[in-house]
Amino acid sequence: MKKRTPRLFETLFALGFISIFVSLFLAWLLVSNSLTNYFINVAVERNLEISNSITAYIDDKLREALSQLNLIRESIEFNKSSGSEINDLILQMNQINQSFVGIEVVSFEGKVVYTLPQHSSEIGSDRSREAYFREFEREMDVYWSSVQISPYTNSNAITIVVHSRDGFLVGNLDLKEIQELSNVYLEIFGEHKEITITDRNGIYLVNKDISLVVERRLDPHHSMAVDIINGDEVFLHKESGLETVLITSTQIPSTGWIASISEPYYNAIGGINYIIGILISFVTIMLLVYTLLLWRGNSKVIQDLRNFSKRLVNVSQGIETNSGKGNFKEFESLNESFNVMVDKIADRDKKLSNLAYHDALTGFHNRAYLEELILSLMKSPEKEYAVIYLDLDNFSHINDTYGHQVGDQLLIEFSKQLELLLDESIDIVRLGGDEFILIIRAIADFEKAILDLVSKIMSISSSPLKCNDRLIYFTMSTGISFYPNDGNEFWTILRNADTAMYQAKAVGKNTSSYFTQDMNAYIERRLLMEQHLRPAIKNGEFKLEFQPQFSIDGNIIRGFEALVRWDNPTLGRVSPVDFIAITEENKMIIPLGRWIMKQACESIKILNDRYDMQFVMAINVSPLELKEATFADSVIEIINETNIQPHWLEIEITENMSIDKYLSLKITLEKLHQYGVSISIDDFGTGYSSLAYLQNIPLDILKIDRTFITHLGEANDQNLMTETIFLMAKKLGLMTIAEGVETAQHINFLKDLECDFVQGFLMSKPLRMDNLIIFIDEYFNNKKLKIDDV
Amino acid sequence: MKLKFCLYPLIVSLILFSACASSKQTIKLGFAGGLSGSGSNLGIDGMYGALLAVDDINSQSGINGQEFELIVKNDQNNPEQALKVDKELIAAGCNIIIGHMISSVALDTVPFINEKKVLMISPTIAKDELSMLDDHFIRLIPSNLTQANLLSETIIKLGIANLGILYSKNNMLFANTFIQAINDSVINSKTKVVANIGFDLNEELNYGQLVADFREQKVDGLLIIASGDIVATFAQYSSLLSYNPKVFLPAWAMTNDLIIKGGKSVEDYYGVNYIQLDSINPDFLSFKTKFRNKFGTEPTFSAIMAYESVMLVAYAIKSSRSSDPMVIKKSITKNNSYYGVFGDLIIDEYGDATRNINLFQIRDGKFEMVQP
Repeated sequence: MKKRTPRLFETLFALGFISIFVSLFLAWLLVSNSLTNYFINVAVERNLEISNSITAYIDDKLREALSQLNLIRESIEFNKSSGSEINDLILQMNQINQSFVGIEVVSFEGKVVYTLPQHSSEIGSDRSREAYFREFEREMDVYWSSVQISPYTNSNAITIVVHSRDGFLVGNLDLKEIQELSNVYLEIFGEHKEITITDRNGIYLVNKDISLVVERRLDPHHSMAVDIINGDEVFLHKESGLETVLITSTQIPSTGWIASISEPYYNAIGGINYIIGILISFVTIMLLVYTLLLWRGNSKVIQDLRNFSKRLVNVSQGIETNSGKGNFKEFESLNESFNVMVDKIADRDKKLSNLAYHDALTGFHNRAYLEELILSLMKSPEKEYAVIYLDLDNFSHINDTYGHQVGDQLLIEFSKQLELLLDESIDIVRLGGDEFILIIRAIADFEKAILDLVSKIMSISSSPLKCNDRLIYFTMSTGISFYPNDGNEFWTILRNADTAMYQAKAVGKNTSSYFTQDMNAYIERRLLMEQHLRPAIKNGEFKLEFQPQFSIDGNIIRGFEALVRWDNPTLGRVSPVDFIAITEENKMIIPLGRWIMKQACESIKILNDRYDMQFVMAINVSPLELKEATFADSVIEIINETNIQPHWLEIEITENMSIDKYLSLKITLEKLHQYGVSISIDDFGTGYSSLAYLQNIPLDILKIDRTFITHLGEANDQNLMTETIFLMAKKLGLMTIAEGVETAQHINFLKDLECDFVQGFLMSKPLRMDNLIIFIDEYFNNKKLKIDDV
Repeated sequence: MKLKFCLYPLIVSLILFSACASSKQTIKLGFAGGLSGSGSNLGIDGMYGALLAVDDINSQSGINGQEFELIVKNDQNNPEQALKVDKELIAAGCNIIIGHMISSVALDTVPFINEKKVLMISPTIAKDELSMLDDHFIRLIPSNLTQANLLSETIIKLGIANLGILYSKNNMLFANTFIQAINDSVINSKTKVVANIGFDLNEELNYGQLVADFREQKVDGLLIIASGDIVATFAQYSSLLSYNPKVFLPAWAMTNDLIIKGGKSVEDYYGVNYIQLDSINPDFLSFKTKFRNKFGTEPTFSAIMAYESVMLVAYAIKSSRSSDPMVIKKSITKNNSYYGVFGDLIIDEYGDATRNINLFQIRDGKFEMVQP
């Protein structure tokens, strides 16, 4: 059988009760004997008083009777009267005190000489065999007989005999007289005590049970009574068939009779019952009080334990609990220790949580926290919220340009600014890189509040942030989506915000966009692009087009810029602006770049071989390609594979690439440059290149961005900038190529600026290889391109 | 756990109960006799005898380890009361009753005790109607006829011419047996029964008238069938009136009261008895001393018979090792020979005792054994 685990409350209660009962039991053992003795002594003293009183009273009465006999005797002796006169005298004397039922004067011969008149027939009767005749031979003064049947009344009587000059004076005392004398005591004390007078042999003379007297019964306690009188002791008598009684006995001096008070033992110590009653009441009250106190005390202990247990459960469930004040110091100590433990655990948990749920760089929540946040949002689906998807524009370029240290610092500084805008209704999560999402719970005038918030966020980029002693300019794009208007679940809202953010980027970045359902089409297309990009190389969907570069006068074809085109059977032609960004994101740019490099090299080999020229093939290289440690070797390998001259190849890098911060990139470029490959900066003027930057890399050519060229001739400050760029290139000894040359006016201005080469739709759009050959053939057939005619 | 809490008090209770239960059971013995009024000396002396026997037995640690307890009831020498007290004794758990003391009360109680299968041992009843019966009644003295015959023999031998009979109506059965036996005995002798007077103790006795009546009938021999104190009182009156016939008494009257109260008036009275009160038998002397010390009086024949009755029961219980009254009865009637205060006591198969009966004459205040 499985042993039941005892409950603490029951155990405390049982132990309390047992200890009380054991204590009381021991206390009772200690005092009960003393108490019993005390009550016995009290009872004995009381009974002794009664017994002495009875003894004295009966003795007085018997002595009175004896005195009466003596008085009669003296009267007879004094008067010496005749027989009838003496009879009358006895009558008169007896009438004064009617103790005797019969009085006789018995001669020494044993004859009744005189008697009461009513017993006159007894005169002459012979008493010579009576016991007092024998007893008086022992020279006694008074004889007290044992109980016998009275000849006068036929009832029990005793005989008192005194010696006279002429014989004996015999008084017959009916026992009823003695009984009546005792009645006063029987009435007062007889209820609880047995008052007994016996003769010397123990035969009853007085008892409330008159039949015992009449039947001359023997007192069963007689021998005890004799012992008591002889030894002056009190007896607790118990024998078979008799209850235990307390006996007190005294002897009546005149007759030797014994007066005994016997009291049942339990009556004698009845006071104990009273005390027991009081004790029981006291104990009951004490137990009740104890029970209440114990109950209360135990309840408090149990309450503390339960509270503590509840705290344990709550803490285990992560529920915040109070500090757990206890009813007892021990529990307070326990709680305090527990609090310390909980605090430490909470602290540890917080650290773990921070580690788990916070981004180490910015201190914002991380993606893992997002799961928790979503659960929190799902608990109250009725509440509105908005999600702002935030992404720094061209952050990869910043990383590329200034290095990750600066990029990270920018994120930190940006986060500090962003944090200033937060309140308790806003949760912010850094998804990774430069992507943040803000979840804003609905507040009053929610849409306006979001508008204000977005405005404030966007304004962060209005000033540059200081990162590692460098002021970094940046912009950001944000997309905003609302729950439940824009979707039923968080992930939809988040995706929609992302879509809106991409839309903002698509429209030129540095702006915010609220999600609209039609944005999904764009996203879907982007997804499709991603999906189709992966097999595109293998499927031969990519093609190269080449846009010729001419000398400013149009007489020389310098070379060509290779431009990749993607014609997908499903998507149709996709703009490089769209898919290059995707390939950079998904790293497809590496194989694609290698494919372009090889195709372009093969093409320039064909062209130069065909025309026996030294055309240059300019190829745009993504910063991601350039970061590849094997890039230079890979390029050299392709050069060798395609058997072209290294100087036929020109690598175009973007202006924002932070080459000066990446020694490896510089080394790569220098390696290629030393190998003979030309290096140009594409889209120059739109980024943030410093003069030091231009000096630190092995640069050959600056390709001036089309934005400068488009506005040439227009009256604005940009022309001054364009002139400065060309002047600077000149001073630095760099060749210049103007992109986006679309008008003859552009040519003219560029000539003024001493631009070296031009590229643009004015001369030729990008051409597929076959068309390019046709174009070159035609060019050479006409000997030169007459730019003025274009 | 709860079971344990319940078991502790139960175990304690069982221990206490066992302690109580192990206390010795007593053998309850009833005593029934007339203990009040005139003629009560027979019953009271019987009670004292029985008490002494019980004391002697208990002082020897009882019989077979069981002590005796004597429950005493007063039958007031009244048949109705006798039946009542027998019922009370049986109700109190007495299967053996020592009593009753006079024949008149026994006749109605014997059928009752037979029915209840209670053993009754009477110390003093010698009623002939109860002889030769296989009942539950055992008597310690021979039949009344034995007494009557001895007295008749004495009366005839002493040459009593006019025999008067004074008898107590309160013990008519006993008296009738005597009267009948005497009449039967003297019919062929010179003795004539000339007066036959009964009296009722409940009525006032006119002793002077009685004396006058007997004197008138010239009664020279008087058979008094009454208790000792009645005889003593009659003797005093008779003596005062100088009427001194020869008086003959049954064992009933042969008590100390007769001598004490009769004084010299009872000198020369004849009586029959089964015991010899002046015997120097050591066992009797020892008994007499114990009795005197305990009760302050001399033992009478009823005391001796009652003592022997209890001792007989004790002996039977001891030998049969049973307190079943029927087993005891069988044991008593089977062994039939017992050693009493005065020697051997023979009890036949019907529970009737056989004892020697002797003639006594009061001389100088003592019972002196004489030859008829």
